Amino acid sequence: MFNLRDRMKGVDPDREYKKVHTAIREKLLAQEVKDLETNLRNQNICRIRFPELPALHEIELTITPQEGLYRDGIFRFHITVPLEYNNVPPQVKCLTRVWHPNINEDGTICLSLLRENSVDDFGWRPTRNLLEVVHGLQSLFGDLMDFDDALNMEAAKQYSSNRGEFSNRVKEYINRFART
Amino acid sequence: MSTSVENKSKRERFHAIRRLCENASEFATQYFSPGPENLQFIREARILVIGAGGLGCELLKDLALSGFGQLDVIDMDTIDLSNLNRQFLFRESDIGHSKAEVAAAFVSRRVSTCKVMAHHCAIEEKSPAFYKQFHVIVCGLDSIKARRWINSMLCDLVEMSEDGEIDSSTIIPFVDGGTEGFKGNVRVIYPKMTACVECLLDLYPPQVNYPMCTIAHTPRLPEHCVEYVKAIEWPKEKPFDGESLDADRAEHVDWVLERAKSRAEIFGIKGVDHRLCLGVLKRIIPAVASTNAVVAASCALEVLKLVSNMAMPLDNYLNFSQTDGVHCAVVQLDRNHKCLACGENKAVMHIEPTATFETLMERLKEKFHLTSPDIRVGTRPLYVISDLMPELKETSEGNLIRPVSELIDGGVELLLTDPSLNRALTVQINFAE
Repeated sequence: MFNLRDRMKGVDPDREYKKVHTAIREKLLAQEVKDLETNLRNQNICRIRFPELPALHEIELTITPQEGLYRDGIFRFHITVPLEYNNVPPQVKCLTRVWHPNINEDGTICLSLLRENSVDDFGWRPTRNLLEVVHGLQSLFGDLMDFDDALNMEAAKQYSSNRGEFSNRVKEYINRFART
Repeated sequence: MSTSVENKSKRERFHAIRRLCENASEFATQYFSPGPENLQFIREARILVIGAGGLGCELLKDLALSGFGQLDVIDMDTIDLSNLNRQFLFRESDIGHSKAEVAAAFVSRRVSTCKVMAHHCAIEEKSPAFYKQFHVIVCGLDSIKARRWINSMLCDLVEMSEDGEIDSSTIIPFVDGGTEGFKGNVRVIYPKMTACVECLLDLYPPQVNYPMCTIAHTPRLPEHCVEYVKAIEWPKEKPFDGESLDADRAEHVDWVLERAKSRAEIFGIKGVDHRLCLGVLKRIIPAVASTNAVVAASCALEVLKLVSNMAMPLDNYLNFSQTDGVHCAVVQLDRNHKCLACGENKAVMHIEPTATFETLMERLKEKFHLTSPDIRVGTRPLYVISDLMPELKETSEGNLIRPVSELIDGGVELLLTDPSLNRALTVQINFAE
């Protein structure tokens, strides 16, 4: 049983506090970054780097889809992992201008798993991790492309009214913005 | 009042507490021994009250009037008109001033036996050394995020003794009170010994938020309309000379309300009114003074019991509700052994300070069956070999031949990741003689 008295009588105020307070986020990131390394080896669709080493909470992700409409475009994303991770999702912004139903031209992304947990169960959960985020973003250029619940309405409308024009605009944007 | 009467009333002031401290009782804990030193401990115990708002004011009052003499209070907010109906340490002339400072001054002035020190800043701005000074920490916070922070801090302050057991003299009990409308809870946490805030995190219901695509294109609820104006129209049109949206300013709220109403009309949504608008903008949950009073009183009582041993502290989660009638019950919640703040996965190892870092690594690999660990102290990499971070390779390899004492202090915690582990491992390194 706990007795506070031990502490009150014997507290040594000079006993120096040497430990470094490691936030939960740092413990999680150390492990998740290791998992990312293992899983992203031997493929070159997704590339990761850390612009603010030794900090691991600012991440740059580059996705180069190998198939589909967005093939060979080089799309850059910036991921910021907030201190309250993993109770809150990482914040992701698209740095490359792209013509896409779920990514605005200013870089805002509509991906359900990036949304803070809400009552409808599709949002972020602490059981998710950075690898899921990377795969989710990669899938936005493939099977997670959603024209029905779109963020960029103009792009979605164009897709249903004139598919050819939509593809052309996608390619045009890739040529102008996603070449390097 | 003459001096002798004053002295007499001071002597008899805490007679009720004194009686509890100086008499044997069936309710006392096994460590209790009656005597005047119990009241002395109460007077001298250093208690930190986190938050000087609805719960904080009540806590300071209850603790001061229970005989406590050394309180500290920390709060980063300033006083607002809407606080005055229940945060009774504040007056109209205090609006705009620091809650912590005004509360501390009020209590110190009013209860002569109690000195309260104020800290007008965020809890994150204080160091571990600050928190270590206290015997008990009581929280009257208004956010989960802050609770997790202080919980994680207190868990980290717990040290292990030489034999790898928890040194209980480094445990700082944490009494956490929370209220929302007519409901509240109190829990008593012994970091690393009993269920902590992180262990119980999924007791909190998910916070309400709306997906951006719904807000932007397919709103269905009046809340979506208000959120749209707040998140999209305001930053786009920058009214009032580009000021940020301040939900306390009537003109701002009216602007949002008007736009939200127009949007609601376009989509055929009913229900946008001033009250709803304000609720969405401020995420308001109305505060009830009586809930705060009950929860704070229970917290203060727990602190009193912990310091004096006069009765068993609450074990360990009290649920209070007065929505329909009154419900008050205590349940015992278990620890989560995989808890990220207080769970297992921490160990101790000894090494001579003159040994090389490579030797330390070999010993760690052997003891914990690791294949090729990465080792950090917090965010500082000591040995990290990764394709994703090639910049660190040179320093890492250079560290291998250096003596351990050059790289770390004794008692420090290392963070290890390894292909064989599915969670990072924390190891405290103590220097052997």
